[in-house]
Amino acid sequence: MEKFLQDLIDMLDSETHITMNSYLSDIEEWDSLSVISFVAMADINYGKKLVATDIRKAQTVQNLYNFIAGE
Amino acid sequence: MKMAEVTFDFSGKKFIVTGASSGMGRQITRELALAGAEVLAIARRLPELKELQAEYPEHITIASVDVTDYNGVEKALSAFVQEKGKLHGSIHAAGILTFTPLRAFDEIQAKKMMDISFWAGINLLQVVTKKKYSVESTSHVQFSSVSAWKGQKGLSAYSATKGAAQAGMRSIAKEIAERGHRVNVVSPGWVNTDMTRDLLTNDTIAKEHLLGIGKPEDVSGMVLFLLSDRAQWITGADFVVDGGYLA
Repeated sequence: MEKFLQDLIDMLDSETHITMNSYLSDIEEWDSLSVISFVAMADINYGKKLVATDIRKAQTVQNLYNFIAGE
Repeated sequence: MKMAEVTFDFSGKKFIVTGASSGMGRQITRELALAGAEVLAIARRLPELKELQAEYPEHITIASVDVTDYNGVEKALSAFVQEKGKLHGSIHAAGILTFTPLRAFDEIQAKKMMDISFWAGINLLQVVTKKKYSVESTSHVQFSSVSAWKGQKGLSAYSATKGAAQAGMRSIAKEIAERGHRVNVVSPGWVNTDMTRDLLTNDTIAKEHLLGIGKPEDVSGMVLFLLSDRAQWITGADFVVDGGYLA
């Protein structure tokens, strides 16, 4: 989970304090490109094939993690 | 299916189609078979190829080959030519679309796209224009994309791959013209296929298509035209079929 958080922070290049409970709407760097970047990052780092449509529905960092964890 | 105003007659003609198991490749294979051609349909996924073959068993020969396996492609082609006769053209529709945003750029994925769309396309042309496999005058179509003309976030590698197809084919057109061979490029707008489905959930892209998002059959007509003798004076050119996306 820590690795996931760090990967997400690196991908977003964010200086905001991000936790699993953070709302994506509160993260300034979370934009439309982030969705595509998250899909790419999930594939590269976790071998997960995700769909951008699903990622757009996520509201929190925990929601994103659940996609990676396959829950 | 609605009766088409323009029909083609490819009776007795032979073609090879890569990426034939889905999207554009599948549609072109179907339409060539419907027009009487003998088609060698190549793709990795055998179950989908078998389904396609079942639609026109007398016109479609299938081979489960990865287009980046150059020996495998030539072996399948050689067997097809031996059985059916020499080729009249090829369509390289194999391709993948992977997001490669700068923030999560993966060189392996980027190179894979280039391997399948571009380098495998060059290999295909090298093989299919050999005298032992082709008749004297042949026509070939390779796929570029509107993304070679207009940027979209996350598609740097895909766009570069498609730009490479245009630049590369112009040179090859000059190399093969003397021997009576033609090659052209078709640049579709965003067409609803398995490959693009994820991208098309982006509303902006959909709205930018004046005529709406396309279907494979909106593009295949141009491909069949370029393969036909009505296009005998056309080579080294790019044809945009994009529902007004670049307008």
